[in-house]
Amino acid sequence: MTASPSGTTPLLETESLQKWFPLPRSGREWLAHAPARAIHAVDGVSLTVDEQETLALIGESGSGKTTFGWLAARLQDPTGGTIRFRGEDITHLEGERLRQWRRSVQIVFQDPVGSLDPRLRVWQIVGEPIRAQFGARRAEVRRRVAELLPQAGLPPDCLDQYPHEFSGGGRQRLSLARALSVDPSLVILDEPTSALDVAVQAQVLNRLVELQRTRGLSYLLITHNVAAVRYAADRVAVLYLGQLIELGWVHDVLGAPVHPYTKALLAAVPVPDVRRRHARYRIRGEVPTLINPKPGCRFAPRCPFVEERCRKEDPALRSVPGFSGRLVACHRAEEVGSIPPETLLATGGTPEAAPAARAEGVPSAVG
Amino acid sequence: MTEDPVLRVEDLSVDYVAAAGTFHALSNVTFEIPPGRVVGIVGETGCGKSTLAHAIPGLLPTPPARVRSGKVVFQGIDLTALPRWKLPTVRGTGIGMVFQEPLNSLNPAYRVFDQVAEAIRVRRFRERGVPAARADRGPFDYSRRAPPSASSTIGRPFLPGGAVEERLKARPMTPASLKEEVLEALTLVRINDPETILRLYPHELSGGMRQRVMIAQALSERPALLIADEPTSALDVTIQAQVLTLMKELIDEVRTSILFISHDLGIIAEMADDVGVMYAGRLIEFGPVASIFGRPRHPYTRALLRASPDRSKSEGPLQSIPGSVPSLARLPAGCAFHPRCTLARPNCSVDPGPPLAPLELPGAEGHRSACWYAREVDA
Amino acid sequence: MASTDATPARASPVGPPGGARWLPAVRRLGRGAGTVYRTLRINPLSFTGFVLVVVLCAVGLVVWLDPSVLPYPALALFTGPTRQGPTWAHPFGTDELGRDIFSNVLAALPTDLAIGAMVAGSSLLLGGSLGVVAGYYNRPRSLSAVLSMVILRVTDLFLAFPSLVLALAFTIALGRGLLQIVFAIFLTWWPYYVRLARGEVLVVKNQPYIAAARAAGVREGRIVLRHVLRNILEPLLVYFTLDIGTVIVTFSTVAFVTGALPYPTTPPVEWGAMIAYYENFVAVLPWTVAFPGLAILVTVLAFSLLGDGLRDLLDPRSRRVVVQAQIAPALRGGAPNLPVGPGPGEPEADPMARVETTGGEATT
Repeated sequence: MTASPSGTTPLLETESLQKWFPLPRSGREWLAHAPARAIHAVDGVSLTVDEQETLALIGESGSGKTTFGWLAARLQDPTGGTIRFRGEDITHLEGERLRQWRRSVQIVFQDPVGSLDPRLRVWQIVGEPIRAQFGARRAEVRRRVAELLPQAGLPPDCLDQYPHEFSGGGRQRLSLARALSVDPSLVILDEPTSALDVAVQAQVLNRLVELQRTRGLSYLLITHNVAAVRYAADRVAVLYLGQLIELGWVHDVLGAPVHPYTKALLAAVPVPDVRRRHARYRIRGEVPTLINPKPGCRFAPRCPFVEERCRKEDPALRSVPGFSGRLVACHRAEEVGSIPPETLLATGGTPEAAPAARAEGVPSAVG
Repeated sequence: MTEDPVLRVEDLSVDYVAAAGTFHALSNVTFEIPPGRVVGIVGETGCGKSTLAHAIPGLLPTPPARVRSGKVVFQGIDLTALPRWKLPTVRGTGIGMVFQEPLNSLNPAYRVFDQVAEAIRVRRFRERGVPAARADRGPFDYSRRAPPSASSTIGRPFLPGGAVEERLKARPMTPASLKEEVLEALTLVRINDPETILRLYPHELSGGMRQRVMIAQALSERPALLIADEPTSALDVTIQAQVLTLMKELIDEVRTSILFISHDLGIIAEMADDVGVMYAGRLIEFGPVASIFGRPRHPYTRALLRASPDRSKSEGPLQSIPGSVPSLARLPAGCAFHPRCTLARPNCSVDPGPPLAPLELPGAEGHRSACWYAREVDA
Repeated sequence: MASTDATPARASPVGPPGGARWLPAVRRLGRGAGTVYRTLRINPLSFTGFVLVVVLCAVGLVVWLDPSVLPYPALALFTGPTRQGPTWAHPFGTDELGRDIFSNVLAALPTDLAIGAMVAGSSLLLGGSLGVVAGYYNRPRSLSAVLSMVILRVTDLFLAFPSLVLALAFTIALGRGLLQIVFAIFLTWWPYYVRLARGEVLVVKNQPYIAAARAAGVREGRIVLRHVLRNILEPLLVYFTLDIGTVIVTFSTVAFVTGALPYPTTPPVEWGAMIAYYENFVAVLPWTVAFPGLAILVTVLAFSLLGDGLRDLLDPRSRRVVVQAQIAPALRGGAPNLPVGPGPGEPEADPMARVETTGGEATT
């Protein structure tokens, strides 16, 4: 069980949550009795979200962060592990009870265009949860939606418009209004600002934080946008290839990342600051496949600090001395943890540039 | 500047003519790119930066687009005055382009080899004045039965004079030399094991690899100007960092001028030497990167820089720009930014603002701003 | 879909007064019809198709309701001179027994239209619903998946034969008569709708808004009705429109080949049967074959043109994407936090109108 920082029963809790997507076996594999293959999208993630807290989940594409959000919203069924909501096991909730549980957890989807039915009007879209959950009639739904729209930052007189008449920010607000319509305790925000410009992003983030304060919401903020995490989150969890590799308070993790991947991720974010133009730490290679991953640390193929142990043993999520309230999954956390990312300079940027250096066994990113 | 600029955009205005009205996508954009420099253009969605990227090489569909005024002078030639049929030769030889979504910009039906080889053929033709796609296997010529004629691949008027025999002699284009050059181009963009990559189709590559192939393709034309339109927006952060690093290194190696377009202030700060900021189809500020980011001289640039989340929620709300970007069909009178501007004075709603004029300020050399009150904007 | 007239719903955001609940529905219907008209108007070809279909249906209806409007009763003998080419009295000429071809062609119009609508309509209902079931309910290892499998395999079985050959075989098996042919064609017709509906459902099913509805706690049945059906209806309707013409051609072919209709002894009069009968006189009385053939051509053409126009009209993406993607952001322009569309009282900037007109220009 993951430690909940406050010690009380967390709002949402997952324990070694798993989602594997099985791949169909080809005829040749079937003949050769090859083992079944599966994409390990989420592979044993244990997390908690407390009341009125924002937990940010960051990672790149393929890290399983969106799948985790869908599992937590019970839109997909996990392959293994448990999900608890206010202490109650909801992993296998079905039928009417699942439908009623959905009142407490709502989700704002990544794609502000696709997640709104193009043939419905604003009041029908935003009012859909109200109708589904409380069986409200047309006039009642319209009244409630008209009240709700200003809270999400939309004019109340756009009830009869269609989603395509809105810009990206407007659509994201519609999604938000829909999620808030049944007064949930937890809102899962799947990349809420990735489609938005920076000025609009600031407006949406402000709105989210304000709503959290006034309505006592909890957020599970799923994003790759480190700046948004810095502003909106309380705690942050870093995912890599379906596994949790670092967890801690947002200032600690963003200020002094321990895991080499977290360091690389933070160093890769472009900052609008000309002075930081040249000092950069880069990792080589691309995100490897998620199909039947080999044992050992999943970051090992790209890690500049890799050693023999990393390729054989799975690193456990553990606390690291000197970093209180932090959980890290790295064998060499003690040695690596205190190296600030700024001192890890790129050796010729992408390490593919220096095949000679690698052939001589020079560690490519230790400057 | 002692050298002539590679590209000079003068007073360029582009409209989209639709039935509901005319959209002023670009209004009086003026700037130039000196040789070997990277000019970044930054702005929000719908500010016209993509239109600019497509307008320079004449790639805008006309109609609905229409160049209302202005010139695009590339190496001394005004591209807007060229007849349409001459544009392909200019694009393929002098201006290379890298687009946002490499999966859509690479032809899914051809292997990496063919994609890059095509660009090399185009360049060889330009350098030698000889049709290249003739003897060897190429993207248009798998059967070898009916090779495309020189006049159909490249414009006939560009063929040099002389007898056919002479032209045939000047064509030492063996498949081996072509492959060598393709491999060279792929190695240039740091692709490990280019021999394998050659035989793959675009969909078999990862996003970062595709973008590298795209860059290899653009650079193997050895363009004088490379236009990169949001080249990393579709990539993950760590992959984006790799591609950006690669591009930075290539700037030094290849020494081409680059027009780098992005919505991400951070990427522009990292890549560009000079930065232009666009708002509602206008270039509102232009200057050296350190000056723009260090001490912006236009209220919009300042607001944009401050909107990036730089604090936590306990430290108060983020500064956002009040109001919203105006529709290009209904631009406000006067300065397009005045309804959202904190410095706006009464004359801002009438006066369209000064032309992008150099600031006579110490420490702001080359910094130009289209705001009457540029001196009052403090960082 | 804000239109140029005042939109009453926007004026009262909360809803119409309880008294006249049907009023907004009627207004919406009227506005919808107006949009159809305005959009079709842009493309002259589809507009021609639209007008032709309306005229054909109106004439067919009149003839069906009151056969006495025909110049001569259908199948009546010796209405004038025999074996006569087109004249003012007999615009399409007469046959060897003095039957007026014009009256017979007109009398066949409601029959053929009804056949087209019946076959395509019942195929749409049966095939469409089977397709929705097969597309939507296929969770692995469930009863519904088995059902979907059965539906699809049966569909494949029918699709394995050329539909015309199959229709001919069924007609011969079922015997002579109009309803027999209709049923035979229907038997070969519905599998196409299963395939089409299933394909559309598979696309719609994976749209995020379906997941959003599920996350909102909407029941599965309602998701199918409200989101899935609504989003697949339009492609199905387009196919249906295009299909009416095809059915008429197929029916006429079957009637021609099998001679399963009793023309010219007893009603019903049908174009294919007319051609089958007059084929014997084609060398001496060419007009007897030409005019029923022309009637088939015009009807099929009208429905195809209308169908093509509807396809452009009903696909919201083709309607919305004004020009190429690269300039779309510029057109969308602004208002990141507000609807891009105009506020109330800005009639000239109707987003839909803008899209319609420019869409037409861009496609021509």
